[in-house]
Amino acid sequence: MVERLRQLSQIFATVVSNAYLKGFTTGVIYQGNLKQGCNPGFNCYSCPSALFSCPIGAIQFMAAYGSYHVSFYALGFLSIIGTIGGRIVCGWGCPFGFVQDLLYKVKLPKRDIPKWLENFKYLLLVLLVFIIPYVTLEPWFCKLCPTGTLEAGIPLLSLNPMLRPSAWWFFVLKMAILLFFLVWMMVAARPFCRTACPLGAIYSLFNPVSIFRIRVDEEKCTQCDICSRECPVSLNLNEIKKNARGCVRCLRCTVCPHGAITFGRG
Amino acid sequence: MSFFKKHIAKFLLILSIVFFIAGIMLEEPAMILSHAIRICLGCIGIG
Repeated sequence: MVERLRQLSQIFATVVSNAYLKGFTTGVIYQGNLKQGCNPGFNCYSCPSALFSCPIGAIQFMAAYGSYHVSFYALGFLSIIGTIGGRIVCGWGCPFGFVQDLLYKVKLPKRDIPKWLENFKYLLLVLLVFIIPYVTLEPWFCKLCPTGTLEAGIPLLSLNPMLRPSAWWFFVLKMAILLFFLVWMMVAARPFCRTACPLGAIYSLFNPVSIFRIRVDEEKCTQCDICSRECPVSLNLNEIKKNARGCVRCLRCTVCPHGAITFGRG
Repeated sequence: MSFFKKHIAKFLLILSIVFFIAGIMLEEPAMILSHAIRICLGCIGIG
């Protein structure tokens, strides 16, 4: 039931984020006022159908060109969501997370991701989203972002023949990064969210302190470990109890047959 | 949840709202719009 609801929520978020379908016929991106708003999930604003701005793109732009080199607006927006629900958007409302969940259904042998790799996203956040854009005045995360390649690069280059001659080695590099992640998504759960997503890195900081959180009733818990086996990001019971940063709040652990795990106000 | 964690969430929420409103007052949404209505050449891999 929770999983069905989550899938519907992901479909809804993907459709609302990409409701400007006209962009796919004209090759021109949406230029209306809704782009003043940030998308809570990861969705490239150069996607022909995107209605909202990517918060990570906005943060990089403000780091480079803003009066104070900090996007109070985007960081405030993400912090409001994070404080309320932690990484709930990762699990329930991120279009790129939805792509990863779909690709993980491909029947291939599955592999886990080493825990230490999960810290890599914080390095990317600090370097490519804050420091390097500030120093170079270029949005370096966008330049390497596989979401941008999938949602913007491929469709816009397909729809605009005039852009194609400019696409060479850098586009090839971006395609290689995208293909690497697409293959990884088929064999591991949420590899981009866990190792490279700067948006997930920001939301994850709020997981342990968010208002709505996962609660484990110690009296009902029998240590059966079903929650841990259900968890797509391989958290153990102790990490689930602590609302660990790695949790994408998919809430699959709430299938606990003893009713020991719930999601609600702290 | 501990007393500290319960209150840090409220504190963070207030701080986040202050940040968000400050961003609006600094006219960041208009700046972001001016950037986001143009195709990001970095995103599509040619810039």
